[in-house]
Amino acid sequence: MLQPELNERLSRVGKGTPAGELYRRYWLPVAAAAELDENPVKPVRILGEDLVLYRSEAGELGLVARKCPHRGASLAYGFPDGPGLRCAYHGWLFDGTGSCLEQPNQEPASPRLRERASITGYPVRELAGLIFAYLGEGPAPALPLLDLFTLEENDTQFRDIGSAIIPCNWLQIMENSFDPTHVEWLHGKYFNYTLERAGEEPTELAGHHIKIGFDLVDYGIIKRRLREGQTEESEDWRTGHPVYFPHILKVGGYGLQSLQIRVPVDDTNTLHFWYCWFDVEEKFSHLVQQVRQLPDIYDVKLQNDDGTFRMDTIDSQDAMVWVTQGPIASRHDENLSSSDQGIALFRTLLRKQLDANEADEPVMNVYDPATESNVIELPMERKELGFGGASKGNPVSAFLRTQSLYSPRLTALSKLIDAEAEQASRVPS
Amino acid sequence: MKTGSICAVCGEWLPTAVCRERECGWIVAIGEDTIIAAVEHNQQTRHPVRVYTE
Repeated sequence: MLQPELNERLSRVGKGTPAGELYRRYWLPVAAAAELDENPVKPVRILGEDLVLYRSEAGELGLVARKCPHRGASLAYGFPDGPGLRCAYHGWLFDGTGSCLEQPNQEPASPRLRERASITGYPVRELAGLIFAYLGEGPAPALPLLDLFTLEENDTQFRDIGSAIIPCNWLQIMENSFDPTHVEWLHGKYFNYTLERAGEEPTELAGHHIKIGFDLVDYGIIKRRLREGQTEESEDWRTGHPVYFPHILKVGGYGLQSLQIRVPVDDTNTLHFWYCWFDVEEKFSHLVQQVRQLPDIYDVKLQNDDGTFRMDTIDSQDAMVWVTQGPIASRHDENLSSSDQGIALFRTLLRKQLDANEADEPVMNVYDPATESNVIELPMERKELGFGGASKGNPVSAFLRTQSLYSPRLTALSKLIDAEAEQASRVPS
Repeated sequence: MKTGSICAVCGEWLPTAVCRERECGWIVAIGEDTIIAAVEHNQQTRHPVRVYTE
């Protein structure tokens, strides 16, 4: 149980709030790079700030305040021109620092008016298919090079990036990452109930947890679980799932490595990325070559048109429990149990980091720019994921029980593998 | 009373926190305050700390 004041302190992310100021110490992904391919100007809202992300004609990225300081029109309708973004209304031009470079119809030119017309501009960097922004004060820290950001596509390995806006506060999403036993129920027993009703193969996720543990490490927390029939030598316990503080969960298993990155849009909405790497057997490499022609970004569908949750993927099930807790979960009326110790641990760690940030003390995972080249290795399980539902000889089809159901690359690969298997079965022996 | 479990009398859950740094030997099981102690030990020493129940 949390008192409302503490809940506010941990949850809210606007400028000047404790958690908002903590988040402003980190580089945050604000879009997938490929999102700018079709339209180089994209409105984004991050930490309660309305901004416009753009790629200039010179190929440079910029992230500036959305409101034009001239007459207040939205720069989301602006267009890249030379070194910056030009407002559609009267053509005022801004660079990535937010400096106003031109005011075309101002005669005679007024350096003072131009200076007064500067807007907020934030540093932006592209890394591994994502565009990161730093919304904090002062010089930007080093951009952490997580291990999956260093991978390269090849004959058997490819990447895609799913995203969705989750209509709830970021903290309840993160708390779920410290809740091992929900897998047994939500993705196990509940999912199996729905699958059995549909006549489909159940998952292997319903095993009862007999022990849970959480390791506080230098970058965050590693979540561990031990189910009935397992020993402490099992990967579930030995390796676990790391959370890179404060907002990235790494999960995976045989054939899949992924980061779930949660970025607060504002107090009641969260931009969620599924940053996935797939690895298939050599015999499928010719098919990988085909699907790599397809887009590597996609929107993840979590709800039906009437607002109900789809419940047919692990991730839409998670979204249901995140969102139905309310726009900001009220924690004064909760009853934490022994299975919630990871949640209590994360809240305590978060409180300590908020305190440290307010006291101008070092904060977890904020790096001096000189450490930039260090790759941060996060542990990852390699076992079979136990989603069930795979078609014969098609290991990637089980991933269609996750948000990858909406991935153009993954769904195409699965269909191609099935088609080849079907064709092979028709060839007379 | 067995640590890392739930008190059979009052129903409180009692996690255990153990330092994983070789030869540190830090361990606590003080009810819900275990969590606070674990974070403080980790932040002060930079030692990895495991919190668990079974």
